[in-house]
Amino acid sequence: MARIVLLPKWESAPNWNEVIGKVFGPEKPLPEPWQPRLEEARRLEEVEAFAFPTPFAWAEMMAAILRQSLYNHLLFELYENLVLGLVLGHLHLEVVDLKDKGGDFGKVLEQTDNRYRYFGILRGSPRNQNLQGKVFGATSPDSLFWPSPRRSEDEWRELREAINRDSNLQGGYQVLADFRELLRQQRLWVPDALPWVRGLDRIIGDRSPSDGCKHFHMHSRSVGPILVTFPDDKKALYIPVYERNFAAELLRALTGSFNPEDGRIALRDDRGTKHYEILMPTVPTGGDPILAGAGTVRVIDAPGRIRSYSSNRVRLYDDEKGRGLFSLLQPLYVGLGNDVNLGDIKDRPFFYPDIIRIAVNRLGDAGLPGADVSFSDQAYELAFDPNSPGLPLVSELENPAQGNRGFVLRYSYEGRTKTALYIEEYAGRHVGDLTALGYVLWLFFTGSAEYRDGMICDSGLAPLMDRSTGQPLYPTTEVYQKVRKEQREHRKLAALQRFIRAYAERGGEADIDRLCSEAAKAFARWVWSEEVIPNGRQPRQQLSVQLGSLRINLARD
Amino acid sequence: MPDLLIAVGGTGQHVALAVSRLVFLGALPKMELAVVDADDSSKFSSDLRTFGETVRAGYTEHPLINGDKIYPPFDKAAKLDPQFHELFLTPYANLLEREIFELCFEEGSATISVKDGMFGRPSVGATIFAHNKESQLGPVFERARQASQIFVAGSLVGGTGAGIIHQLVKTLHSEEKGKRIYGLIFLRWFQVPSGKEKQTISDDSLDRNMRYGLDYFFKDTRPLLAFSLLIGQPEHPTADEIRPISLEAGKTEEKKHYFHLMAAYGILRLPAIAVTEQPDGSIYASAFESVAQMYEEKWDQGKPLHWYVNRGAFVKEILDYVGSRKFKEEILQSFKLFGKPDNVGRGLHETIARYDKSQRKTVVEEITKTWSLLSKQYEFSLTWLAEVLKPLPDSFYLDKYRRVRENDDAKVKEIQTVWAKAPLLGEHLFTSPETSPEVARKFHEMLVESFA
Repeated sequence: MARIVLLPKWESAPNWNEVIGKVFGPEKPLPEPWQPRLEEARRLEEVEAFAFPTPFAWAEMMAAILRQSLYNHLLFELYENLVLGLVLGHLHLEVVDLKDKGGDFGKVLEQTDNRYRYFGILRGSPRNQNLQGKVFGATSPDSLFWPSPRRSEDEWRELREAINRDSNLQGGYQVLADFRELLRQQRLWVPDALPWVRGLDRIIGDRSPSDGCKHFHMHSRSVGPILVTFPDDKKALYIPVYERNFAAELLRALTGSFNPEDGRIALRDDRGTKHYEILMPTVPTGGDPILAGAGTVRVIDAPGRIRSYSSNRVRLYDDEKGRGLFSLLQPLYVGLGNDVNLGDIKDRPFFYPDIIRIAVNRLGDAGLPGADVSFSDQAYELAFDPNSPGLPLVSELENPAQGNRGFVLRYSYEGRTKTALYIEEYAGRHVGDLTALGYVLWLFFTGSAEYRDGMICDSGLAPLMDRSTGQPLYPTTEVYQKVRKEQREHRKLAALQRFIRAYAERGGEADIDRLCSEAAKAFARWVWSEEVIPNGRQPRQQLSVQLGSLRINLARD
Repeated sequence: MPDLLIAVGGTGQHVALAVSRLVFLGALPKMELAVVDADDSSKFSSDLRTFGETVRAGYTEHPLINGDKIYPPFDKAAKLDPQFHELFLTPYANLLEREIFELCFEEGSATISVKDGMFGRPSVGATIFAHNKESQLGPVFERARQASQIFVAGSLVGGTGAGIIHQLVKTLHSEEKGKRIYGLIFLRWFQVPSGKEKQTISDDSLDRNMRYGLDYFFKDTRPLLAFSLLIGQPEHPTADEIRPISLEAGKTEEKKHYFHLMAAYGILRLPAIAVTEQPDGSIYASAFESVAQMYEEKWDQGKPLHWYVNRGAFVKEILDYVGSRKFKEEILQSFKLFGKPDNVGRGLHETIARYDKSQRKTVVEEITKTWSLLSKQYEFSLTWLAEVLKPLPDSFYLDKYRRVRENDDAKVKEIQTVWAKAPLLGEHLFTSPETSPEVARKFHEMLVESFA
């Protein structure tokens, strides 16, 4: 009699001599003849998710469909509705701590698989009255989302129609394409290994990312986080929701006032109107504030509401208006622990809540507490401009790529090392910090400005350096305007050559001297439209003056 | 510390029945049993708890420690016939909890009655297990803590085992770190006749559950097990013993099958493999050529299974003889004038002689009753083995058994030899008269040991 293996769908003869032998090593995947047959269902009632041996059977079902690439399956259609519904704001993501708020059943789920402790529920948003509050799906580490088995065909149809009608649909796809690109750059986009990546990849299709993933950075707010599986780990991932100019508008709101409320920080404008909330949930012992949603931003929807902000200065530190952003967010920074560093936030923004992601993306080093980095008011315009990539990192100016020019000044003040960034040009955007500083030095060089009472003033005694910011050497806003206006009035080559030489000869000494030298060159280049070579006699007068916390050597022709 | 077999669902109970018989015959070492199943009222459940109605308090014991207990995965006394959702969504459940439940379970699963099983819905079984594992199944985990190794047996095709096995393994793995857990996992081994009325399980649903269960098993459960043995019906069975059994509605007797014996063999073999190979979650299967092959396989103490059958049959033959009315009379006669104690075994005679004369008749009654029950335990074990493997081929029978089978003189001779000395003397433990069943069991042990 032939020897056979006692297994269903097993055709080959045993390759061992004893009664029991090995058929699969630890890494062998489920053979094809044993795989679940999932393709039959056409209606939700026909989906046999209950055959998966877990309370998360629907999540398993969704993951299995994604793994098998069954894109014609009913559940994939619903999956797409969930993704686009969320990205376009027709669905809200509500994160619930199952251990704390889910009752007996929630505890069962949490004990079965603690990756689900912070459980995301997808509900209809107020944008559609018929769907508002209804639960359409939930989140899963493997499939990202799964559809609720309790929604009717009519309700799914209504959601799909709302998505199809949405004028932001292309914007939504664009944000997703950017999201994919950012994950790809970090080698985290692996459709073959991760069901949720495979599903999103199919939905995004062959759409290209925007230049610099601008849509993600500027026109998305994120929801979540959702604890998802990556090839080597599981991480809290934030999902982008398309919202035009969100980053710039949130940043503008950070110039207003902040009020701690129960489990959140209210962001109010100058009239005291609340436009945003930063979630700061309190969690029970053993809980995880980050997974509970700390740092995510909720927009207070009120169509037609006027926003009133008068300042350009983002309130990062405590000041006369009250507590600054950094001190209010302290629990969030503690929650993120040692993981927080600028490079990681810039490279992997999808792992950070909006208040961190956007602050760092728009403000660079200044976006995290303790950096003591300053920019000119002019540079801050980059942060608010939706079309700019935000402020640069110190490292980006120190190792200038194409299109990045500027100077990083490190100085000591009251025993602390501070950093002032002077941006001439960043990512193709002209700021002109060096040119403006060079202009001030030029006016003093040519006798059109004076040093008086610790300030450099023009002939009308108007200060040319802005001291209101507390920074020592940033020119006033008016200087930037004059530079642009007076470009052709200072085209005096011999004087410009002497000017450059006067500052260049000290250029190798202190940082401040090198800054002045760079500023002088930048101004001369701006005026002459090409490089000017140092030349001519020594300046008639050298003057060492104290400007704020810095001593600077001025030259006069 | 003995090993623990956790038998889950109906298939688990069938494996437990097989294991208990093999332990009784000595082919497997003694071990502890914990059965987890909602169904504790079927005929085969009763057979498991009573070892085929042979366990009588004070007379005979179950071969497995705690073999008479079945743990339902939820408190059946509290809710007599609950629908699944009623286990969670009490009137006090809040809206959020209800919403979360409805995200996880469609109407069809939420409303099934779970009194006697999970009706082919593993997700329901898994959830009920998770809900009650600390309260209802606390004793099972307590035993797992005491156990040396743990074996989990059940099928992936029904509802109870299919739902519970994975979550059970997960919990054991997290609570009993470092302890080896082996899986005895059944794929399809029975079939359901197609009926005109809508059935809760069908061949299609069994096949579906198997596939979904395997998907989950390969991905989530396998890495938590030292090794596992998968068992299921081949596409082209080469012998009747490995064909699927057909289930019939309302018939709850034991479905005797070769596969259960195979699972029991896994209890012996998987740990042996782990001595030479890294227990890394690898999956094993069994090869089949003929049932005779299994009779020749080495079981406990390295002896082939047919040896245990011979021994069991030998002891049974003698127990049947000494449990007979005739032998009872002979014992009593041995105390009379001109009685011949040597005929019934002098040791037995001397042991009974230690009892007061007035008690002897009762003592003899009790002793022979115990032997009769023990004989039934052999019957329960040997007939099952003969059914799942075919009767032992004649060529495998040993002379020692043949002799006692063929004539009573040989039996008497064995008794006279084996029971020549009373166990209370010399190195034996008895120092005072024990209960009659204890005496009977001791003399039974002497018979068993004599076969070596």
